[in-house]
Amino acid sequence: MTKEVFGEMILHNKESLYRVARAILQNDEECQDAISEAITKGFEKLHTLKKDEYVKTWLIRILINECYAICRQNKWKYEGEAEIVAEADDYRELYAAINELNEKQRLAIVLHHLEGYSINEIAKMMKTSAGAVKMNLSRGRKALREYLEG
Amino acid sequence: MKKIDYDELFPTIPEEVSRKIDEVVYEHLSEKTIDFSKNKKRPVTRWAVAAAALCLLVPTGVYAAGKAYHAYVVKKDKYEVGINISMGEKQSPSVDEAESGNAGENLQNQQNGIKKNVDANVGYKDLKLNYVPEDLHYNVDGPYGGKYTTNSPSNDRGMTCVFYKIPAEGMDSVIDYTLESETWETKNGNTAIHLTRAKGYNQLWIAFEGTQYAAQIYVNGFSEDEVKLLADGAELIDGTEECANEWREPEKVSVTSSTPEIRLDSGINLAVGDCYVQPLESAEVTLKSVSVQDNFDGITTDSIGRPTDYSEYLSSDGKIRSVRKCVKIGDGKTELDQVVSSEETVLKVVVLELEIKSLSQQVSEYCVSPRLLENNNGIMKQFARTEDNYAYYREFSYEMFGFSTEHETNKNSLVNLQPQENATVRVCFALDEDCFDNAYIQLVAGKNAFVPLKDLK
Repeated sequence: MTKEVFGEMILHNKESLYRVARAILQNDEECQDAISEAITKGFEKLHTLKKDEYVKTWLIRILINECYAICRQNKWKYEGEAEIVAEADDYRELYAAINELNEKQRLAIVLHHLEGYSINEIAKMMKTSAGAVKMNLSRGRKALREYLEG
Repeated sequence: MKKIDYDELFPTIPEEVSRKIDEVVYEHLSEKTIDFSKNKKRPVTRWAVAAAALCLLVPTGVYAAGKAYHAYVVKKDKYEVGINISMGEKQSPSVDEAESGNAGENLQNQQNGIKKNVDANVGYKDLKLNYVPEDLHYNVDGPYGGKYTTNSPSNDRGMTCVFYKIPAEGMDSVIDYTLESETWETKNGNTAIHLTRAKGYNQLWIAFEGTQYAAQIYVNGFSEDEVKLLADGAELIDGTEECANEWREPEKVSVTSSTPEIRLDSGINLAVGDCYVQPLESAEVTLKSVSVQDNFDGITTDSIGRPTDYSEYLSSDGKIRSVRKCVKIGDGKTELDQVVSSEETVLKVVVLELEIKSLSQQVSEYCVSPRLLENNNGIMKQFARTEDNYAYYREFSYEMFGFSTEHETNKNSLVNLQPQENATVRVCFALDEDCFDNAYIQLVAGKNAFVPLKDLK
């Protein structure tokens, strides 16, 4: 795959990248950092991509890794500031609902319901089993319903 | 159980994040920078719709290292581009350039570049166009005020120029329905970008190198040479005051927002002689007459009262014939508008005579804006728009025309209406003869007062 085609794919999928990052990270600034870093790594490692048709999945996997890396770096920060962050942002009701989920449930829901990936594809991206993805989806949906109906 | 709308779960990508992604991608692709030193001709770069590769165009002219404003095109989607003018690092002259015999020219460019950057920070600037096609003239006021038109204004040829000062953080203007983009360096060392569009006016952008000033010129009916001459002739001159408009991001139309639904059963039907009072506008409108005719007899004006000749729409049998096309509306990003079907239709002209009376205690203005609506199962829609993604188009518009009055006007507004003063206005609509059954005239845009046309056919 050429750099130009890879670049075009990224520009076509900005929204997807943002949603995935937002499923894991707490604010837009960190999402921006994670996406930028993932794009940079994507360009650097493009020659290692084996099949062009998996390029988006491949980039999302890189992005998920970057998001978790930022989470690890900032763990101390979130523990102290979680409430402040939540109050500071102007979330919609539904976003507030999904914010109640844990990050694995959030990510599974984003990848499955918004990005249309299959259970198996998500399992590979999240480096977990298909059963675990199903469980995260099921619990996530249940929690969302309870929140929205509650 | 409440259905979860997953699309609503997340906010859409913030503009800042989106812009950052563009920047990062551009940065990685900038290795594809065109080496102008290997091209003796003036650098010209194009992308065409057929080109599969993402083509990111690069700043022109190589001079002073350091930050300066650059203009370039980012292809965002198949038919959507971004015009980006922002601060970035200039490139140093490459070894090739230094050895190519252009070194002296490059040095001169470096000096000019530095000088231009300094100039840009001193005093105000104005835009001077040293070339405008001979058949175009600038209209100071009137219906074409602020535009360049021919002596017989039409949509086929003309131009409008907007002069901007770009904010310090740069700008990114997204333009849809773009078929082709061409970028080149003008004789003055500025960057010119010409967008050929499938819908709407073509656009010529001129970014004045090293400054925060840019011109956006809507051009229609221009030859390639005329566009080049226009760009070459554009220059910045000193001004006594700031003449440029501050660039603002156009307001985004929310995809979820919708026009309030107008229901036929929530309104009133008006007959000849009926009066509709508009308290908020302090005016009342009386329907004095409604008639239908097969031709344009007595109608010599357009929607804002300009003299217009409609004889070209008459066929040899004296009837008004027009081609009606059903068009699937594209999003302008990945698909263009597409004609689904086409048929010839015979039109009739509906003529309304209205009396407008001012109820205001002060001198006032009243905009005459009836619309042709279609009853679609009780919902009133703008005529011939079947669904959100489909629309009918005719050579002859469904919009109001034949606006005329004895009163003083500005376009289709009555001006200087004295308290309690009356003014008589005539307006017309062209309607397909097979569409009368569901057709209504909405007497005042946005108001639920309708004139049914069913019995007029």
